Amino acid sequence: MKNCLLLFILLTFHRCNCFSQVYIEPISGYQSDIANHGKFHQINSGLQLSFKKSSRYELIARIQKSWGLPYHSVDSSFTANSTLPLYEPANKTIISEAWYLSLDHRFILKSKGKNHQFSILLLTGISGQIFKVNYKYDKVDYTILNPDQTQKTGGVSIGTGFEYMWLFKNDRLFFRLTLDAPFMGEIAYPSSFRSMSLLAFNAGYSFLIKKKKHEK
Amino acid sequence: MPVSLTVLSIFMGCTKNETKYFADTTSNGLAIFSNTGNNILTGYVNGLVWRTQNRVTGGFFSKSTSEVYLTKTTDSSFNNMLVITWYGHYQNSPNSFDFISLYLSVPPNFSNRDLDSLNGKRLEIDSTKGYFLGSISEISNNYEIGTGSIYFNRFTYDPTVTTGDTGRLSGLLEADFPDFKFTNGRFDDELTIEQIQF
Repeated sequence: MKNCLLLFILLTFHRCNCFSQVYIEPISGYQSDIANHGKFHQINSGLQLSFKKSSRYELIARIQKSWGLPYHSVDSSFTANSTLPLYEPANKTIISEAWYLSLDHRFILKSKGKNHQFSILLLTGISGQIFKVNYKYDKVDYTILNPDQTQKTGGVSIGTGFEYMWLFKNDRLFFRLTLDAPFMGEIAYPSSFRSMSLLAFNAGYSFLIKKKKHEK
Repeated sequence: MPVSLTVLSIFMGCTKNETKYFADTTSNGLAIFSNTGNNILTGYVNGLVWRTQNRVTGGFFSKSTSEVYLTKTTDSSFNNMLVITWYGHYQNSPNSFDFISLYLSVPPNFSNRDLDSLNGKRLEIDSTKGYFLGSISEISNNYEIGTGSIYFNRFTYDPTVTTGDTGRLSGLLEADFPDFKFTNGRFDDELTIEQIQF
């Protein structure tokens, strides 16, 4: 994780010197998992640096953390002790979280208006997902059938999306809809969930921090 | 030399371990309680983890082994008994060969088609309905008779099915023996013609 972060920072600063315009872009939004029938939802917060290479392309270095909203359900727990009821519900809470270190690509589409633009996004990077599982039940007398357990998964993250951007004099406001592909391979433990495929709606604001040389 | 090694690896490599162990993070050393066919029983014998041997199938020279076998027998009073025997050992003593058996009184005409009648049942195992028989070599050289309780979460078997899910035995058990206690037992076994021996 530390090595990935270091590589990410090095790549980012290396790229920073090669591009004429640089924006810093805080982003926030909401995402919902479509791989697990909508069980998991998250609030996004992130920061990205956008390096504008041309009027048609920008490279974006993104760090994002997605904060999970709890998902509640009930599993079954049983006991062999005949003095107790056979079955007792086990209340389960799963909080799913995700993080991203990503080098994204913003391909700007031709637009007639000067104050707005549409872009196609290609998201490429690494990301991790964690599913924190917590049960509330009688742990002394009962045993949960097919219990879920806290799981971590991660790997290469690929996604795509569409973005609308409102252009001001220097700064920019944007809204984006993106979809991440699920990770290759399944979680090794027999869980009731699988790795997430997240449909995200985010909004962000671009602050211009480095202008073109002739604009100085 | 390479040819003989290749032949050996082919013969050795044909065995398949069909036991899947998923640790229960809430119970130190035990497997999770499941009904998905993990082919394992775990529990505590006097507080130490006891588990069944692996189910191994295939192999040209090695015999297949199973962690559980179901048989039918008649006791000294001519009562018909269904016998479920799990073979295993302490987690840290894989070379010992111990067992825990359930002897359950059944009607004389009880056949493997009637195993489903126990599906979902929780039974108090006392001397009237049956008993447990156990042998843990580290504790005693004798077979010990015990009482307790067992819950069959799933107990299904269809002898007409030739492939796929032919049957399942899963549940929980607790048993008291004179010299040891078997606690927190949970089992999850696939049942095939290999395990059903009656």
